[in-house]
Parts: sequence; C-alpha cells; structure tokens
Amino acid sequence: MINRTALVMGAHGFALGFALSCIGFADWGEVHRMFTLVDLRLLFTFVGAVGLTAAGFAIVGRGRALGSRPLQRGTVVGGVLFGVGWAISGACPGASLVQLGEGRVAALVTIAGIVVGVRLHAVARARWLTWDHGGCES
Amino acid sequence: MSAYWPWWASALALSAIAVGYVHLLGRTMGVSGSVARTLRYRQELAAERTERGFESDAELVIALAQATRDAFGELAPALDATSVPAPAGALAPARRLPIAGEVMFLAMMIGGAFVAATLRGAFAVRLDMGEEFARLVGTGARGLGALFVGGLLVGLGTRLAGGCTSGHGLAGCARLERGSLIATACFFGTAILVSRAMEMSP
Repeated sequence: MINRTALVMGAHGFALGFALSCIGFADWGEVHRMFTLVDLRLLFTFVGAVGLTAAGFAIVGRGRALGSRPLQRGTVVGGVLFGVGWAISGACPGASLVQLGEGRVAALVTIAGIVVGVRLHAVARARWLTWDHGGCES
Repeated sequence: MSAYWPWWASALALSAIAVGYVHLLGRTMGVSGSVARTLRYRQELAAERTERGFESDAELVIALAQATRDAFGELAPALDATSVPAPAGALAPARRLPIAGEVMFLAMMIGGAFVAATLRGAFAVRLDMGEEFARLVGTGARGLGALFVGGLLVGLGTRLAGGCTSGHGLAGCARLERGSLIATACFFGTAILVSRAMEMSP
C-alpha cells in the first residue's frame, strides 16, 4: 500500500514538522509576538519564504504550470474565522501537529476542534450546496 | 532571547520544502487540505479504487464514451486510443495524491517536530501552552475551552477559504493566486487585530 509517492509525502511532512518546530511557528508566545508586531522574525520568515518559493517555482517551472484555482465564495469569511482561531489557539493546522510532536498535549484539544470544524464544513456544504464552493475539489 | 532559527534560515527551509513538494508531487502543499482529505478517507479510498480500474485518463475517456453509446445509441461518437485528445499543460487536472500519502504527511509532521524538539532539548510532555497563553487567554478549563473554540474556527475557516498558512499563505501567494492573496490578507489581518485586542483587554 505504501508506494513511492506516499514516502515522498512522508519525507516532506517530516521536513516541514522539523522546520516549523525549529522556527518556533508552533510556539504560542512567538506567534503572538508576530501578530502584535513586537517581534518581526516570524513575519520576515513568512515574507522571505513566499519570495523564495516564488523564485523556486519560476526556476523549477512546475508551480506555474498547475493552473489557477477558482475563487471560493467563502474566501473572506473563512479567512477571517481562521484568523480569529489562529490568534486564540496560536495554531494553524500544521502548527497544531507540531505542538503535539513537541509534547504539548493540550494541542490534542486544538486538533479536536479542527476536526469538528472541518466536519461542520462538510455537513454544511452537503446541506447548502451553494454556500462556499466554485469547484468540486477542495 | 529566542533559540529558534533566524528568519533567513527559516524562510530558506520552508521554501525548499514547498518547492520540493510541487516539483516531486505535482501539486501544491497544503496542510488543511491534507487534513480534510484524511478526514473523508472513505470517499477518497472509494475514488482510488474506481481510478485503479483504468490504466490512463485516455482509457477512462474511452470507457465513458462506450458507456454513453450503450445508453444513448449510435448518435454518441465512438472513441478509440487515437481520437482521445491528450490533456496537457495548464489544462491537465491537478494530480490526486494517494490518501496513504496524506496520512504519512501529517503523521510525519508530528514525528519531525518530535525529533527537532528532542535534538534541541526542548521536548517535554506538558499540559500548558506557555506563560503568555496563560496570562492572555487563561489556564485550566478556560484555556482548554479557548483552544477547542480556536481550533474549531481554524478548521471551519480554512475549509471555507480553501486553504491555510501553507496552501494559501505560502504556495498560493508565491503563485500570486487571487484567492490566496485575499485569504492571506484576511487571516493575517484578523489575527493581528485580535491579538492586539487581547493585549488591551485586562
């Protein structure tokens, strides 16, 4: 069952978890100091990463060839809700897993919340089809 | 003060991972998307079983054309291997990654963080989220309740917006996707406002 693609994905997951932990992206205090603009290290990290990724996509060429995604109707509302949740929990979806890996057991509560939120969206989407989506893939 | 990587090393590492993911896997990396696919693994496995019956997209198109002819008669055009147009470039559908890979991706994130924290002597099983969290949000049940509500908003919000920090913020913004730029401005802007409000409230 575990093929080469799955192994490559696992390797990227490992690298991402490792890096996010060393960057401090899963540290509530560090993330809070980024949002209050008291410490700009993580903000520079983010902006720098976007710039370097854009350069990497241009060199490798594959990033641009993927075709663009349709604009989802829930983009603004979803972004705002995510922003509130991130400021409170100090975790984006990736960071919650990193917190758990670092031994912060309370992250299990955050992860439970994320699972409920994703499920809630799936139920809402099934019931009110027109709510958010432009495409059939999420 | 901080034992964490400097910003330039952090940016370099994150971009290398994001570019490597697209280069090797043919899809942009997005943690919230992987979470959502993992949570609906039953449908995803069913879709994988269906796709496995066909060697290629062309074979699938031919089979669909035959089924159409079976249902609607000779009016529907007959297709064979030579008359199926090959999807190419920007028209090719984004690749569907194996669900086992999504699970590996998420599980190994936990593993990678564990190894990183252990190597720098920071691993410790603990219930708290740090002193700032205790001061600004709360401890005990209040803190855990806040984490649950926060997580719920993260889960719901990222699905409504169609991505999170990795999918929209990193990969999407790097490709100047309109939706990603809007979503990133919304979640970063809101998080900044909420965090400032938390500092001001007693």
